Amino acid sequence: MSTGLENWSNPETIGAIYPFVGSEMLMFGLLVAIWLLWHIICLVTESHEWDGDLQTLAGKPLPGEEYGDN
Amino acid sequence: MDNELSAFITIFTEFYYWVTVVFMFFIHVGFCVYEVGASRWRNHKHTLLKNTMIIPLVTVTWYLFGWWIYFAVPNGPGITGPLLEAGWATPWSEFMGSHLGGSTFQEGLSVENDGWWARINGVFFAAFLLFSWTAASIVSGACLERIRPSAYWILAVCIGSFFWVIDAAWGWHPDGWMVQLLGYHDAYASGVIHAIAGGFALGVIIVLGPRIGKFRADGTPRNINPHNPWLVTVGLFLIFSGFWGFYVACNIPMLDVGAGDGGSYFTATNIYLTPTTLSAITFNFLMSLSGGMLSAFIVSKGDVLWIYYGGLAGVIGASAGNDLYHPIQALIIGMGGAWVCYKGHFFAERVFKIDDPLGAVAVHGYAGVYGLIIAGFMLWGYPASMNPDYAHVSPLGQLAGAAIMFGLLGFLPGFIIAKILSAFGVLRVPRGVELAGLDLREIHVRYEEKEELRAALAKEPMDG
Repeated sequence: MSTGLENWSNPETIGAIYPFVGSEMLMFGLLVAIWLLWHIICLVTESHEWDGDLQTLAGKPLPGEEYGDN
Repeated sequence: MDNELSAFITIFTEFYYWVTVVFMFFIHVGFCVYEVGASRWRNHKHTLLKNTMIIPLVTVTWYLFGWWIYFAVPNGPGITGPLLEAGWATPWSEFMGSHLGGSTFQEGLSVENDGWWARINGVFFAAFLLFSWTAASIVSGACLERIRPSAYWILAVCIGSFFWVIDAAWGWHPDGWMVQLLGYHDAYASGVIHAIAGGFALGVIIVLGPRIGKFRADGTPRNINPHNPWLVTVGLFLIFSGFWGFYVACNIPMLDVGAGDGGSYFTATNIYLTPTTLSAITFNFLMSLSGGMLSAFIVSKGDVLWIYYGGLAGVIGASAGNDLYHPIQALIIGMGGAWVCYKGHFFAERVFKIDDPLGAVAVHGYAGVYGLIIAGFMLWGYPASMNPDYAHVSPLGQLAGAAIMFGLLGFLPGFIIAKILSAFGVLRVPRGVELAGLDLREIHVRYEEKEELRAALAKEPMDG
């Protein structure tokens, strides 16, 4: 059972209708983690991307050159 | 929901805000289209990426803390009272999810006191959220073609889910301390959205610096024209369209504000819960838009892009008082907004070497500050609230409000956070990448430009 809701009679007495009522704090923690992790991943991968671009521009073949698709 | 009138008001209010959210989505579509039209081809994808990711990031953080802040800090806290309880707006609240409002299980919430929020919370949350996206998007345009997206997204969260909502709680809440003590009046957000976002953007771009090539060696500015004026046009018209939703979302659609004899008086109200009508704001929106366009035509000598900017600046300049102005007053004030915006933009560019590619600081910041100050004179003596004990509108109150919005909550945090990001070396894209284009990795440099590119890069340091 993911919810205490058993039927839709007496809708005037029904409150929360999402599954796993009572897990709100856990879900909150999960969302904080997703948010912060996203920023960290983004900062790290972006730095690698810029470094790669700078190496490319420093004399290595420009993107696509090695594939002959310019 | 137990009688027809309360059920009608509740469900109508739900639907009303939902419609405003759909309209306001056009603002964001417009910003994306407009910024791509204004950027150069080598930066298109990053420009889109930067603006698009505002949507999930500000939404998530608005859910986590932005929505709660609005209800928790109207008193400062510590200026007119303590931090307030707002059990329906905490991210772990049962009312922050699907809920019918018939019963509660969390401590501090009750059907009698908070049940209304079970129905309204999501749509009201979303209407405010769309304002938040707008605040963040305004800053995006100012940072065009040179900011690292990851740095911008941190800034977007700060302005979109934190600083603007503090100013909303202080000055855009019926019991905000600025309303209580200063008589601050800003019905359609000249300061609450526009001045703060413009101030924040200015703080960021002072640290960020101009785009490479914007200024000649002697300091005179080059005009970097939009690569696609048609996209800019479509984008700005979409923003105009979304602005209608923005205005309507600033109102409460139906509220019993009480007749003097203790009876009922149902009306639309502004955010301060004082009566207004959709007709009033429709008159004034159109007339201030028109005033801004007319004035921008003259001052820019018929530059069509500045006419669009002028239309926005006209509306923003009149927005603080557009619930109360006469339409002809709104038009004249709108004319002034466009003039301040145009002159302020080129003055800052020429004298302070500010590179504001889309005129965001001017359109939103300068016109927003102008709108607040003008409202102080035009509405001098009006009650700012239904509460007779609160201050009345005054020039000094509005001037203080402008300083708080543009300076204290806008410019200062933008400057400080940008400085911190810059100190960590994550604010600006490396110089070589900026020259070659931010989309180097994604779209590949075109072969015919390879030698030209290398020749240009040979003159520039590659270490960023």
